[in-house]
Amino acid sequence: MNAPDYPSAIRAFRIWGVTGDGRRLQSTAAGFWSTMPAWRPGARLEARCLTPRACPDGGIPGLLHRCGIYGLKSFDAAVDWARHVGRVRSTVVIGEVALWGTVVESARGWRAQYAYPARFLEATTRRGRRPLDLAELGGVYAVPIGEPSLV
Amino acid sequence: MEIGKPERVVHVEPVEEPVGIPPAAPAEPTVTPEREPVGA
Repeated sequence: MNAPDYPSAIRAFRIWGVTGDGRRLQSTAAGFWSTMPAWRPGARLEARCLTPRACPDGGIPGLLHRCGIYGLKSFDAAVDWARHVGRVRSTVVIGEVALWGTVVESARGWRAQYAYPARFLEATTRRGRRPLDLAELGGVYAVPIGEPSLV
Repeated sequence: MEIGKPERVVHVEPVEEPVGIPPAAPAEPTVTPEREPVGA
């Protein structure tokens, strides 16, 4: 087994959708899961891959594949992503995510084996919908809300 | 979402569970009987 390169989780920016009651996070794309993965409070989300031959060494995410749980290095990129997804989802949460396990680094982001939300920053709700209570969501996941902690 | 070409793989093992994840419960201690239970 390889010695770890980092002793603490990597922090990145990402976005989530929410369930109808506003109390559970969902990824905004199914990616390499068979269905849109739900983020369970108090439990890490583990990446899956539907085409394991694309990750020949058995490590998920594979270096040359596209599977894994995504995080972005730039807050502005997360805002752009939220704007794009907001066309099809009524509520979008922007936040920070902790990433760990096997992690593939790219120029503008990361793909990770494990993830859990680390901080909720803001939420956008389509006009006519009930605004999301970000503090309540923070309580459900036991994470802080507020300004970005990343530089 | 486009994050660019992959550059490297790193292994990240947090010393502590990330915020929001309760620490794992300690394993139950294994009790070894001092002698074979009667009837075993």
